[in-house]
Amino acid sequence: MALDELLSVYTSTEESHPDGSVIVEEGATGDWVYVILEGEARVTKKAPKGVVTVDVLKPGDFIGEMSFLEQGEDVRTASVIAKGPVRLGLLDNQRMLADLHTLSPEFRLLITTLMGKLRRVTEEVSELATENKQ
Amino acid sequence: MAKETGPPIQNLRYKAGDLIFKEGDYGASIYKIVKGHANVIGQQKDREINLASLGPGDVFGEMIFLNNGLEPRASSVRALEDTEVESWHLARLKKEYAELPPILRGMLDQSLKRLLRMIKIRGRYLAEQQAAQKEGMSEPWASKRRFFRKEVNQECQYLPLAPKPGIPAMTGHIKDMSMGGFGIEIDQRNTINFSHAPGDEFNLKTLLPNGNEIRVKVKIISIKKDVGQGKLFMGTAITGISLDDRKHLGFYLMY
Repeated sequence: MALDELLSVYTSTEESHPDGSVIVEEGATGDWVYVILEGEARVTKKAPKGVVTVDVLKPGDFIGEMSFLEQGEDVRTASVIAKGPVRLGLLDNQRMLADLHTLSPEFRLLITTLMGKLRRVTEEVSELATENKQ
Repeated sequence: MAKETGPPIQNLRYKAGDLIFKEGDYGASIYKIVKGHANVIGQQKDREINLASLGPGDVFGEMIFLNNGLEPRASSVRALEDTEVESWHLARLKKEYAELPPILRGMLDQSLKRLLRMIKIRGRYLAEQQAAQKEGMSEPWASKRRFFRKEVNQECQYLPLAPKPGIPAMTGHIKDMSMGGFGIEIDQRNTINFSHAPGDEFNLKTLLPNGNEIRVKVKIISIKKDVGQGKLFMGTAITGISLDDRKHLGFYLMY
C-alpha cells in the first residue's frame, strides 16, 4: 500500500489552519501526530539568541512524529507554524501505538536514542545558527 | 516479541579502563549498557576529552544505523568500571527496520533524514566557527593580512602591553580593517613615547560604527614612513581578540 493511501486509512479527522497559525507550540505537551495533506508549514526553534527555522514541511510530511516515536517524551521540541493555509490529517494514535508495540524492545530503544540525538543536534544547530548570525 | 533474525544479542563484559570500541574503527554493533558506566571520549590532539557519560539503559554506537557501518566510529567508548553491555547486531536491526509497519517507517524515515541533515549543518557551522577562530588566532605575524579589507577611517587608542607609568594612550586612525589585522595611520610624534617597530605589540581599542567597542591585541608587521604630513602607517596583525569582539568585528566587516 502506498504511503498516502495508508495515511488516509490512519487519518481520523481533518483540520484546516490559516496562514501563520501555530499548529504545535514548542514546550507544550502532546503526542498526537498530524500529516500535511495540503500546504506547507515551518518548523521553528527557540535559541538563546533568536528563533530559527529548522525545516519546511510539505504534503506527506509528519508533524509531531518525534514526540510520538520517543514515547514518554511528550514535550514538543519545536513549533510548527502554517506557511499559507494548511490542511492536516490527524492520525489515529491508538492504532499507531499498537504498531509501535509490535517492535522489539531493542528497536524501540534504538528509536528513542536516535530521537534524543535529533533533539540535541537540532538544539546545537539552532544555537550555532543564531550565534553565527549575530 | 523479538524477531528471531540476524545474529543473536550477545552480553559482553569489560573491565574498568577497557575500550569497548575505538574512534576510527569500523563496527557492526550497537550497544546497550546493562550494568556499569562508560565514557564517550574524543581525541583532541594528544589529549582525551570526555564527551558524554553513559549508564545503565543507555545506547551507544547507534550512528552505524544511519551510515550502515560504512563510516568509522566518530569517538571511542571506554568502560569506567566493570561494565556489562548488550551487543545488537546491525543486520538484525536493519531487518526489523525493513519490516516496520509502513506508517512508522514513514515517520522514522522523516526523522532520520532530518537527523542526517542536522548533523551535516552542525558540521558546517563548526567548521566555519573554527575557520573564523583560526583567521584571528593563527600566527598572523608570519602570514600576510590576506583577508578581506574594509576601508575605514576610524579613531583608535593604543598602548604597549606593559606601558611605562604616566604615558597616555596614543591615538591613531584605522584606515583599513580585516579579521586578520588593521592598517593604522599615526602621528610621527607618537613614536617619541614608546617604540613602534615591527614585532612590537599593543593593546588597542576602537569604537566600531555599529556601537560596539572592541579591544584587541595587535602586533606591528610593517611600518611605512613618509606617508606625508608627519604621518606613519603601521600594518598590524591581530594577535589576541575575545570571541565576542571577534563576532562584533566580523559582523561589522560583513556589511
